[in-house]
Amino acid sequence: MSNSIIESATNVRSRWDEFWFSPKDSNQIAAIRGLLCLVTALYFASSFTDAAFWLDSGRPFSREQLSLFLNAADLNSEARWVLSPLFLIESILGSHWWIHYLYLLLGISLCIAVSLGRGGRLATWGLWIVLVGWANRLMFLSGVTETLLSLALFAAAIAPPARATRWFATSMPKADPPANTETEHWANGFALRLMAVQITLFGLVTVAAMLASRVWWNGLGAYALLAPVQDRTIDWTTWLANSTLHELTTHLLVAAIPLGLALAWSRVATKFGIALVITWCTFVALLGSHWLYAATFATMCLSLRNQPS
Amino acid sequence: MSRRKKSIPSKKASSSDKTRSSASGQTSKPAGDTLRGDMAAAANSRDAIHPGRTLRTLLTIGLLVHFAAILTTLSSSVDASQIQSSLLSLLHPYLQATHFRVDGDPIYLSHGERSEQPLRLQFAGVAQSQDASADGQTIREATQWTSVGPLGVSGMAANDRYARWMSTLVTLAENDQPSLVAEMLLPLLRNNSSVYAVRIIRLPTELSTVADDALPPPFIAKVNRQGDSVSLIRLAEERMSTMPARSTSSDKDVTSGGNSDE
Repeated sequence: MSNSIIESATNVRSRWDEFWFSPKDSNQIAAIRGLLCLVTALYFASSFTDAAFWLDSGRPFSREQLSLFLNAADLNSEARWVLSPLFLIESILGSHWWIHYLYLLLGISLCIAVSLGRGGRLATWGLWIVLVGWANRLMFLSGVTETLLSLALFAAAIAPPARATRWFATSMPKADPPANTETEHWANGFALRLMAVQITLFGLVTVAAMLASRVWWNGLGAYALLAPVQDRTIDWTTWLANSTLHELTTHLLVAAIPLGLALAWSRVATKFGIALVITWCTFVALLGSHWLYAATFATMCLSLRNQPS
Repeated sequence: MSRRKKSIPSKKASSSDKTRSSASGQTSKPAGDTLRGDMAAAANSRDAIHPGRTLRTLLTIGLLVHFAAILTTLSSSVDASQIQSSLLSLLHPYLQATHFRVDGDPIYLSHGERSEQPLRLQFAGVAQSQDASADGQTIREATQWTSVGPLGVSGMAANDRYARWMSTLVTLAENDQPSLVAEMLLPLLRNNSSVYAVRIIRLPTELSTVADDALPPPFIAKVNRQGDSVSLIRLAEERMSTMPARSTSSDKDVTSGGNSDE
C-alpha cells in the first residue's frame, strides 16, 4: 500500500517535472513574444493621446492631485504597493509632459528590442517593468487589458531572449535550415506552459463570470457586449437585429472558450481549439470594440499549441 | 541557477528529436556526405539545459503561490467572499506590485446592467444669453452641453481609461462621495473659467429602456467660482412635486477636501 502511494507520488512528480521543465527551443515562445511586443507597442502608442490629460501638473492624476485624492479617500494604505518608476522620476523631475512621452517611447523601444532578440534579459524584464510601471501609475484607470498584458509579458520574459522572426525562418519548408546551434532551454518550455495555464484559467473564469448574468443565458449577451453607437468601430446592429443571429452569437460567445480550451489541451484538435478561441476574441473585438484586450487574449492562446502529453 | 547539460548523440535520436527534425524539415545525412553534411549532423547534437532539483522545487512553490493568487483575484471579479477578501488582503502586495490584480474589474465583459452604460462628461459653457449665476432649474434645462469625450480610438487604451474614470466618478457619486468626485473634476475646471456647470450622463445602449434613458444624470453640479477658489455645488435630484422646483435649499456644496453632504 505504501509502495503504491510512493510510486504514485513519484509518477505525479515526474509528470509535473516533464510538463513544466522539459527543454524546448525558442521558436514558438519567441514568435508569441514578438506578437505581444506588437500589441504592447500599440498600447503604449495609443497612450500618447491622453498621457498629458491625466498626468501633467495640475491634471486629475498628477502626483499632487493623486495625493490629495488618496488622502481624501483614505486609500493611502491600499496604494502603498502601487509601485511605479514614474512616481520616483516625477518626485525628482516633476510632472512634465515630456517625462511621460519619453517613458512611452522607452516602452516602444523595448518592444522593438525584445522582438529582435536584442538587449538580453534586461530588455525582456525591463519591458514588463515598464508596462507594469505605466499601469500602476495610472492606478484605477488601468483595467483588464493591462492585467492580461502583465501576465503575458511576465511569462514571456522568463524565456531566454530570441528573435521573433526565427519561427518564420525555420517554418518555411524550402528555406535552408539555419545552423542549428541553439541549446534547448527549460525556460522556453516553462514560459509557454505558464502562459498557456494562465490564459486557460483566465478564460474559464471569464466565462464563469459571464454566466452570472441572465443575458448570457437568454440570448441577449451579444447586445450587452455591443459598444454604444459613439464607440463602435463597426456597426453591427442591423445584422444583430435578427433574433436568431444575436442568440446564436451569444451562445457561441459562451461555448467557444471552454470548448476551444478543452480541444486545445486535448492534443486531438489543438489547432481547431485555438481557432475557436481566436474566433471568440474576434467577436469580442468587433462587437465591443475591445481591440487590445482581444489581441492580447488571442496571442496568449497561441501558447496552447504543441503542449506535451 | 544550477543546470546540467546533457548531450544527445545524433545516432540515438529521441522521439522529441524526431519531432523537431520533422517539423523543421531537417533530416540526418549519411556519413559519406560533404563537410556541410558533417556540420549539419554535428549541429543536430543539441545541448539541452535542465534546471536542478533545488530550482525545480523553488519554481514549483512559486507556481502554486502564483496560481493561487491569480485564481483568488479572478474569482473575486463578480463578488468576493470573506475568505477571498482575506486572501486578497494577504496577497495584495504581490498582486498590486505586479499588476496581476483584477478583483473589481469586469473580466466578464458585460452583464447588461444599467451601471455598465457608457458615460460621458459634459460641460456647460457661459453663453452671452446665459447668466453665470444660473440656478439649478436653468442648468438642468441648459441645452449647450459640450462633451469632454474619450481621447482615443474606441477599444484602445485611452478610450478604456476614460470609461473607467467615468465609471469610478459615478460610483463615488452614487455612494455619497461627491467630494471625491470634485477632487477628480476640479483640475479640469480651474483653468476653464467659461464652464459654469458640469454633468455626467449615461449613453443609451441596445439594452437600455426608455425608462432608463429618461433617468436624470447620475451627477450634475454647478461650478462656483470665488476669486481663485473653485468649488462644485451638486444639484439635488429632481423629485416629483406639485410645488414649484426650488433648487438652492437642497443643493450641496461639494468643495474638494470637505465632507460636503453635511
